[in-house]
Amino acid sequence: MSEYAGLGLFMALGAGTILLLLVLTSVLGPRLRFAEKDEPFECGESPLVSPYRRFPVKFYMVAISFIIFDLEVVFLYPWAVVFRDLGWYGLLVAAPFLSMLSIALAYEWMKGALEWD
Amino acid sequence: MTAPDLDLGAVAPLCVVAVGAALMPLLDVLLGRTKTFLSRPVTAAWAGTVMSLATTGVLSIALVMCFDAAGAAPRTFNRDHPMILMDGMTSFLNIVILIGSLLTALASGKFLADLAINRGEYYALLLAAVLGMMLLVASTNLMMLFVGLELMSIPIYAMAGFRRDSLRSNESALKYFLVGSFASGILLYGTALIYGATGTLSLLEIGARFDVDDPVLLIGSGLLLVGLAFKIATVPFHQWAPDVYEGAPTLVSGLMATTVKVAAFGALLRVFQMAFGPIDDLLYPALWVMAVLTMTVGNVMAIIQQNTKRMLAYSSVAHTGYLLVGILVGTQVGISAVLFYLLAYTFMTLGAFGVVAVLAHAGRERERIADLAGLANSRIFLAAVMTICMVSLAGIPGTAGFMGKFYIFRAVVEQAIATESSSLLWLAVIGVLNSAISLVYYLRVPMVMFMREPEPGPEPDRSGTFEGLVLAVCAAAVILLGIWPEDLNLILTRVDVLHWASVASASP
Repeated sequence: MSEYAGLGLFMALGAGTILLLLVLTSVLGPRLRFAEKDEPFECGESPLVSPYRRFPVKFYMVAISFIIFDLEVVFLYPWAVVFRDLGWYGLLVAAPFLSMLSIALAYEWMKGALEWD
Repeated sequence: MTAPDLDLGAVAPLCVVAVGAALMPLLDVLLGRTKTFLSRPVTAAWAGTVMSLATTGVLSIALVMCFDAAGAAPRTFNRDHPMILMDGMTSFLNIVILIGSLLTALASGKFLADLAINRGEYYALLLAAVLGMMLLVASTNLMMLFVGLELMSIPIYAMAGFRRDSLRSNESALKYFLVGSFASGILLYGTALIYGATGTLSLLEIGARFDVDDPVLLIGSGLLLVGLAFKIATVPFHQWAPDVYEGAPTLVSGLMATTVKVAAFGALLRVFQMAFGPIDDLLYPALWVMAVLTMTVGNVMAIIQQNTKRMLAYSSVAHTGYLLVGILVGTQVGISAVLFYLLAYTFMTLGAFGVVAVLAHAGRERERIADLAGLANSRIFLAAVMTICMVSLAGIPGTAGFMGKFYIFRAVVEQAIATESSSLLWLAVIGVLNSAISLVYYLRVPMVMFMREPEPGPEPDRSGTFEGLVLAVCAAAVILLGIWPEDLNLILTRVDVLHWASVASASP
């Protein structure tokens, strides 16, 4: 059973930290009440608006490009960790993936999706 | 760490298509930036033709590579963990898929220009979908099968909605996307249950470890089957097909009716061959009912359609039924017949959709059957191609459709006599009766074209050079496959499916 002691300690520490933070914020935090704060999603955006209003599409272009490239670059981390062990074979396998990313970037650039105006 | 034992040569055709799919958007933006090429201004129509020819070129290279692979011994990509198998059946299906998509790509240039949707992304999506189809028919592993299915489906969703300003095209894309992702979800759930029950995703291993009394495994197999049944549009999973085919750009509908169906049937054949052997007896009644319903509902519903594309959609449902009959036989002869039928079906359906696509003009598609009235007077070539395809779809002797049906029903009757199974014999009877029903709506099209006066309005356009070439190839293939089925099959695909003793024996 002793090998589970570490796990138990970890769980206790995790639960303790959360409890401590909750107690501390409720004791020390300032209490300011106003109408916006009582809304279900408090994020600076009004939760009830007409869905047919206009929005700047440029922001969504950047956001989607970010998500695509960020998520794809995440796949490079496992490769980077074992880069030396894999050697030339690893580079060879990663090359198609990297060139695919570069092509996507080149396409986006040439299409003008990176220009703000 | 040692490198795994990879055989890149086995997947070379897939690599060619993948590189093409990646480079096609770049070619598109480069063409858009060039002002003149060879002292001619680069117009949208000109760029579209270049893109369509480039796509055709990529697909032809892959096709030639598949020809080379067709005669060779079976190969796997990773010899330690065989997930991709390139054997005779894969080569045959790859070749059928490549021929179908090549003809579509060649005809796309003028079609897209006519509808003012001439965008280079179309060709990148087309190539990506073809890559998915090739992966789907080559996979011997449920995970690879799922990857192939998604890689095929997602570009097709986008292509179905390629007319962004057309409400019906949007509806088509959304419907196909919702139904398709629902089907993918069911298939994935089935995969998860099968993995939970057997501990493996390899089709061969699943077949070896199949425990017929395990309810989890049976439910998983059923869900897997339903997921694939959605993709090939069998009754009762066919409701999406008419709406989607009607709204999508006509050539995309043609692609969905032919190559997508070929790929999904390839996957279905693989699953049956490798994994579902032990539950053949359990699946038989379910598939029997499904095949009868699919044939009958498809044919009866097609009779009342006024729209050519909807009629062709129901006709493709009916043909799915005939193909299911071939799978039900369960013998090698049956599988050979199904493969040949897929080849014949691709040419005749692509030809029919091709004629409807040619009639599109200035952002409007002439897609009602009434729009075909008097076509024989104004455009005899289009009327002739359409007639040949309709006659072949109906299964009249002298055409590819007849030979396809003949091989399937011969396999059914032979097996029925060999096993003294009256239910199989009934299947053949119902199939032949359905062929008779189908004459009603297939022959109505030539009747309208040759015997009705055209409605007042502008005459239909002439077919462009490449469109005309595609239609001529389809019509010629339909007739020649009906006269010399064995020889032409060998010339077209290099795989002698009709004299195939062992399709499945070549598995590693």
